[in-house]
Amino acid sequence: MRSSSSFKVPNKYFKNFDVEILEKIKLNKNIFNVPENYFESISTERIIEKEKTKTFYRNLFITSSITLVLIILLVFNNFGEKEFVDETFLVNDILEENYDYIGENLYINQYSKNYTYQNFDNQIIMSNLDNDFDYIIVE
Amino acid sequence: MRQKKSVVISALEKELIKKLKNSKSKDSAFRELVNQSKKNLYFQIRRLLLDHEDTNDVLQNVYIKIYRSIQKFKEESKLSTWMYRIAYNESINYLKSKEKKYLFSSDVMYNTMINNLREDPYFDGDELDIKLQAIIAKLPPKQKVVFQMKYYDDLKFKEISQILGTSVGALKTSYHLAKNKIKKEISDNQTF
Repeated sequence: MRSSSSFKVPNKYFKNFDVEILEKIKLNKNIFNVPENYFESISTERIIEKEKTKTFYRNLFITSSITLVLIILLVFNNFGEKEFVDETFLVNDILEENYDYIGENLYINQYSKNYTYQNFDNQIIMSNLDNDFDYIIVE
Repeated sequence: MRQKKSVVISALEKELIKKLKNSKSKDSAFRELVNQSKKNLYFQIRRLLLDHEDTNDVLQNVYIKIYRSIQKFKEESKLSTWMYRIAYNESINYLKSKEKKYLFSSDVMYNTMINNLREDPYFDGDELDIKLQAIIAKLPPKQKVVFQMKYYDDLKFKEISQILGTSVGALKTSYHLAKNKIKKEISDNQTF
């Protein structure tokens, strides 16, 4: 059978063909151009300025966020709506020996707040946290 | 205890690093660093992003990062290797954010990038170059970057390993796979 072509090629021509093309393209390295005077126009001052501005705003953001969280916590603790406990309900709670509110700060009404009660030998002592001498004993 | 990796850093580079880490000489040393490295970094990023405007944005961010984090540079590699790594990470992050922003799949994004290349006034390649860029763009990210660093920048596998944080063995495999894919695409393509 005759060979498909009577033309001859150098040894390993086809084997190296693709590699040679890659090398050829490689020689044409400067396919990416830049605008005129682009590299000269890169200003380190502008980069430094940009970095300092970024850092400033980042610090400002962190400080503001922390302040905001603190304000929210403060408002939540101090100005949050207090839940008042009904006096009759409280007395019944003690008399029925349920002691649902034992150890908790109690806000009975806007004038009597910060009360807590504890059970000492079946004596319920209600005391005001703000005033050491203000307490009630329920036997 | 972790051992400090030994790398050969020239006296000039050591001096520059020292100046960069000193707040008094930082700005002038940074100016020197930018002048020394801007072209290399630019083209390294450009080969990944292809577009000049995108490259310009990323290059600025890379320098901002370098300026900000130079104190954290542990001198376990060459300064240029460390900068290459930042540039690589920034470029990859930029491409990912672009994908998310425009809801592109990777394929669509790379096709768009290649098509834009034909209209790009700052691209001087011919159809052959565009085709090579298209083949490279289709490679998985690691193979792509290994191929580019080896093919265009003639970096050693050891250096690429430090930049990408991958073992030399894995890099050699990636490069081999990338090269074979490119060769196959070239031989499959009638116009080459």
